[in-house]
Amino acid sequence: MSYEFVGHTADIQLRITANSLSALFRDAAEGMMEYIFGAEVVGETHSSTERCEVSGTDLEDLLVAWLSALLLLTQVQYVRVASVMDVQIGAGQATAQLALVPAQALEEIKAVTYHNLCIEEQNGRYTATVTFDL
Amino acid sequence: MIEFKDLKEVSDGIWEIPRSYWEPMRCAARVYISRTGLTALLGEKSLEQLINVATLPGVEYASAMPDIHQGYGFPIGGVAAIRAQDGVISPGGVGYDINCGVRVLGTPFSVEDVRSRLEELATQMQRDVPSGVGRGGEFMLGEGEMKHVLGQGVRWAIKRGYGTDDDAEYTEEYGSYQHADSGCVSEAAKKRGSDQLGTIGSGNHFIEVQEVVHLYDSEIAETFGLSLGQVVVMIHTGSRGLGHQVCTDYVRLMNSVRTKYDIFLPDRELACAPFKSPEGQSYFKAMAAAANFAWANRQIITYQIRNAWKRVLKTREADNLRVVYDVAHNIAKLETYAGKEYIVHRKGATRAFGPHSPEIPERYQGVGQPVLVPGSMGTFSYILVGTETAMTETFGSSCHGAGRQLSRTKAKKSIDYTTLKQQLDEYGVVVRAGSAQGLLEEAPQAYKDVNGVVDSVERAAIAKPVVKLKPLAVIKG
Repeated sequence: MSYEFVGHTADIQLRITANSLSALFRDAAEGMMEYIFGAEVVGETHSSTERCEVSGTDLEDLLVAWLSALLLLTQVQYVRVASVMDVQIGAGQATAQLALVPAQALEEIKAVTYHNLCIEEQNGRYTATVTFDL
Repeated sequence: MIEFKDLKEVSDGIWEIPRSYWEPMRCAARVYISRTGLTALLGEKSLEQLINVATLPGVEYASAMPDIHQGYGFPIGGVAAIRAQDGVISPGGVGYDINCGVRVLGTPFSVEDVRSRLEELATQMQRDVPSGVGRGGEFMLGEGEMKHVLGQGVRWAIKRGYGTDDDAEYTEEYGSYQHADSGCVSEAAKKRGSDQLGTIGSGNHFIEVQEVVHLYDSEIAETFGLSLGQVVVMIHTGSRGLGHQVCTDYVRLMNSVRTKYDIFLPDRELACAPFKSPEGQSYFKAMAAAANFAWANRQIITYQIRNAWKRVLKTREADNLRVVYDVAHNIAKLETYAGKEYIVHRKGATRAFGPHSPEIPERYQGVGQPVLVPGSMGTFSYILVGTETAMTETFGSSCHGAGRQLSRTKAKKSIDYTTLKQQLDEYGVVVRAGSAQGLLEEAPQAYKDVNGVVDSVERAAIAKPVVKLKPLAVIKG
């Protein structure tokens, strides 16, 4: 995986680079989870799996929809997405299988924004920078 | 990128980017700020964001207050008056934290009465008012109760014994925005907010015990029930996850219909729809419902604070923590000016109605509306009063606070915790914070100078200082 956090005046940005769209979406999810819960996935007991399916009008909208759906899960089920499997991107939809574990959030994200969001592809490498409102 | 030469100084501390600057602009863009503040702004994107606001369909007025900084779509500190008849409404013009706002409670105590009990008061309030990341409250709202909270706001809390009619009287919109419709709020938003009523949250939200240390206008202060040496309590929080989700839902929805309404969008976070469209009306009603949730939230927190004070001080006088006022600083309001209806978007800006405004409590109508301006942690806060100039120049609007200048990451890296704690101790501030990290992120150095912000609005005569407040204790997540 390849992502890094970049400071932004009121918030935080996650810059992701990946070799495919599905990897980009997977790594974006893992980066967001790291911000909220910390780097270590603690206590993988009582994990459950859940299918996630979102739609969007374009790739950027799809990424916002994807991360927003995962954020919602963390806030209403009090879980961390421990791993993201079988990510499929196509025809305005993203689907994946999520492994969820109960977890205590260390940081709060209010929302995933479209701020300066652009998914770019060059020579098979995809990059995106997502800004989270804190 | 905008340059200094692109702005015209309309008068001292009031600058304008003319409509001619960029063809899509429908009005000029105005910013209320000192020359020094403006120079600092030129290195960031907030002025570009303000210019983008001036392109929205139906906009007649776009401005930014001196606490301006970069936001999403609208800059923080942004005000836009858009014609209701044929203009748009934009969730980005309100913000993710719908009705993030401030409430001030006046107490019957002087600082001498409580100084020796501050540690206990702070500890008790930290215990009784949930704060911090992931902290739910004692209320678990089912579908029925949620509907009532969203529809009634403060009224819901009063009916259940968590306040008095006076609390509603001294709240903007009487704590219950009539346009609310809980049916326009998604199930996801309701779930996010279901256990968050009566909680402060984290980040820059807080409860602060303060002392009135200076009177700028003793007559207006008296009208507000404030006096020198008096202790007050300031609450800063909003609609929590419910509001965040409402904004998320509608930014996505409005992005999806932008071609339907053929709206030029220089920034996706400016997503909007015609106010009179089904999407526009649905957002307005959902936003009003989220605003009611925030007002109910601040009401429950008021109840918790009153109980905490009674528990510690064990005196009947602790029953008399009265609401001085409660303002929203992230909201869109349907207001009438010169016979025309506007959706006035205030994002990091406060309503500042002047004297004789029928929307403010009768007791205040002779002087104007209180404008509550929190400083950053450990610095002064202010209570101002709205003016007639605000009614004619800024659609009844003024500043809301200090505005960030350092990112959270930079604050944590560049500010030393021990030094900060020492500074707060020397300043005489009792601190109850959920985490050292959270404290660093909210250090005074991370924010602009609130004194300069207040000075700018005073020079522009859009609000007048009434009292200055010094923190005695701060409770945050």
